[in-house]
Amino acid sequence: MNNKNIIAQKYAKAFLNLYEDQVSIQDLNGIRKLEFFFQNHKKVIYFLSIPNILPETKEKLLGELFKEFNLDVLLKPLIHLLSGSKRLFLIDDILKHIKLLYKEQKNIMAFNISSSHEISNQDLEIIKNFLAYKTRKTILSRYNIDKNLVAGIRLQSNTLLWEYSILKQCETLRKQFNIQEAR
Amino acid sequence: MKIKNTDLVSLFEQSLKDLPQEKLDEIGIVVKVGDNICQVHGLTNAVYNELIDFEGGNKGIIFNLDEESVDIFLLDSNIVVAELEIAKRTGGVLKTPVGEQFLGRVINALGEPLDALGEIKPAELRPIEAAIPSIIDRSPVDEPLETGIIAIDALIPVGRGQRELIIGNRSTGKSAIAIDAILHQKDQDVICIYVSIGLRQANLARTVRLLEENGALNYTVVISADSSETVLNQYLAPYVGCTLGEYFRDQGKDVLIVYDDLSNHAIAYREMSLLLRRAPGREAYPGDVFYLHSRLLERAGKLASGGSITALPIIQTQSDDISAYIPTNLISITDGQIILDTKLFNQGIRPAINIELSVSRVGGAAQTKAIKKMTKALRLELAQYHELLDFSQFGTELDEASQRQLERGAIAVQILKQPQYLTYSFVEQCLILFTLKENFLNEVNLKNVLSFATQFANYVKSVYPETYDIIFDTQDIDDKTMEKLREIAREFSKLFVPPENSDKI
Repeated sequence: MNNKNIIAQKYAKAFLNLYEDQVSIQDLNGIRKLEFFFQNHKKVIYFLSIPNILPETKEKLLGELFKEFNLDVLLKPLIHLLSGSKRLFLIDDILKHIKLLYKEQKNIMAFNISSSHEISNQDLEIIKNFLAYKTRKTILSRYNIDKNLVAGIRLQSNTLLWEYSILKQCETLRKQFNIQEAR
Repeated sequence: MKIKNTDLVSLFEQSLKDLPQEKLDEIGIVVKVGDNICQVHGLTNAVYNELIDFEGGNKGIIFNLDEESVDIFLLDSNIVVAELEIAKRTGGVLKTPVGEQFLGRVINALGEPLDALGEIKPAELRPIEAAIPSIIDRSPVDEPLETGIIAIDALIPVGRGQRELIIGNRSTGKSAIAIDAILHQKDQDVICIYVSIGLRQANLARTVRLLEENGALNYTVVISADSSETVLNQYLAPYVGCTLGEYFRDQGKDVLIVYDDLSNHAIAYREMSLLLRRAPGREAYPGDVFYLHSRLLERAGKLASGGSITALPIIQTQSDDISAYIPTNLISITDGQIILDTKLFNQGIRPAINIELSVSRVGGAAQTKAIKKMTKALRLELAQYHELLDFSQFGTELDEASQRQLERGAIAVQILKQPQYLTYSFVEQCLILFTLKENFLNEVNLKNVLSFATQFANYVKSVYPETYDIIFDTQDIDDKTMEKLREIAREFSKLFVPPENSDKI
């Protein structure tokens, strides 16, 4: 882990020590979207790292940005702190670590639930309960329809996977064909 | 290979019958791929050396565990691994197939056949890293493993369960000694495993052909990780060979395993470690290069419950420097070394074994009584001969005793020469050395001494088979047999025709 990452992690830890109780699941979703925004708009981070631009300008930019994601109130003290220590360019890494540490501390796991066809809310609840039982964690889920599965469902987090679909079985068949052909 | 329709249907049926899995698979996401290694983010509970399955069909072994990611070496360089591909834990280490069916086959480091003789059905799968037999489980090395090479069996004897290093420059006959040892194991009830690491395919093809022509392939397994293979396969090959050897050893059999050569093995491991960005040490080798070989060679030995693995690791030196890093490591690990000298090789002394520097730490315990009797003081005589030889080059006149010593030493050197692919049983070796010991070679022209000695051995075998059998059965030469042999030798001396005169008769 490089130095930038270590420092960002420390800021994230410090932030959560103070404001953990104020962070909600909706805020977490907002942080995730913000993280995604920063990944796709790296120029913003570059802008924040330019020393010639006044800290107040940078603070104002971030304030306006965070307002769009309903995070301005929560993250204002953090922005102010980073502005004072001229470390606003660490904001994307800090948000990433806030998300990870919060999930770790609150025993939350995020899953992507994909199904070939639409499933009912009741079925979604059953799936979430199944995951909660298996992982012993609180489940945060995002649901989408993936026609590539042909039939079946796929449950994936960063570190766990459960799949029962035609796509998976076709993949298994393809591997077996490859093995037979190689022989 | 064309897949039959019936196979297709059964494959479909089999895969669609699969029930949903009960557990969640632990996965990671590939973030970086290159040089046959990939970095995977996730796999938080994965362990070192664990086997990982990739979604695309490839497999790999974990070699580095970091806080947020792991580094995995890929087993197959032909299957593409893409960024963001999912990597799944298998929960186990790499296992190699083992079984009797591997005898006579040429396989790669993953146990797959390379000789186009069909699939091999293994008896079982064994992890390639195994626990080393404890001190209590071992028994002392006291049974000889004949190599068929006089210089080795007489002066640097190898026992079953010993590790004897073969070390020398390039093209000094290291592999030749190992191959001759394998060829000699015919009818000796020893299973041979030849592990080729980082060598040329053409060389291996020649070796396999030679083993086949001499009927040695029936009791040999050849494991190939040639220079075109990935470094991971070159790293794995010796451990796979050792695991296969352990399978046979556990059945009470004796195994001879040749690692040709461990310099390439160390180089492959160095390349892997540098790619993993591990700190380079001496000669850029990683810090655990000693452990790389020590844990491999410690698996050889003789078990109290029966069965043994004798290891003949081969190491290549540069400019005869046996004090380099890897050679010194291996010298300290093994139970002796056979040092091959380029100067001797160029002088026509082949096998080019430097008797003074070579040693077997097991020594006489791995020799039959017959050989021991015939080689008493031979090593000392040779050492004295070489010393006198240096002295005589000053041009000084030597006394009679020194001259006799020089002549005798020269005869001994001639006797120890041996053509490639020609091996002698211990009885033949005894008879050859008998002629030297009892001074029957003193009157023979120096260039004919080897001919005399070998023909004498054949003479005893064919004309006096009862004497030959006595030595073979008792593994000893008592006084009576000694006297009989002297009689035979006197008789043979009158009959011997030197090769240059044989056409005139």
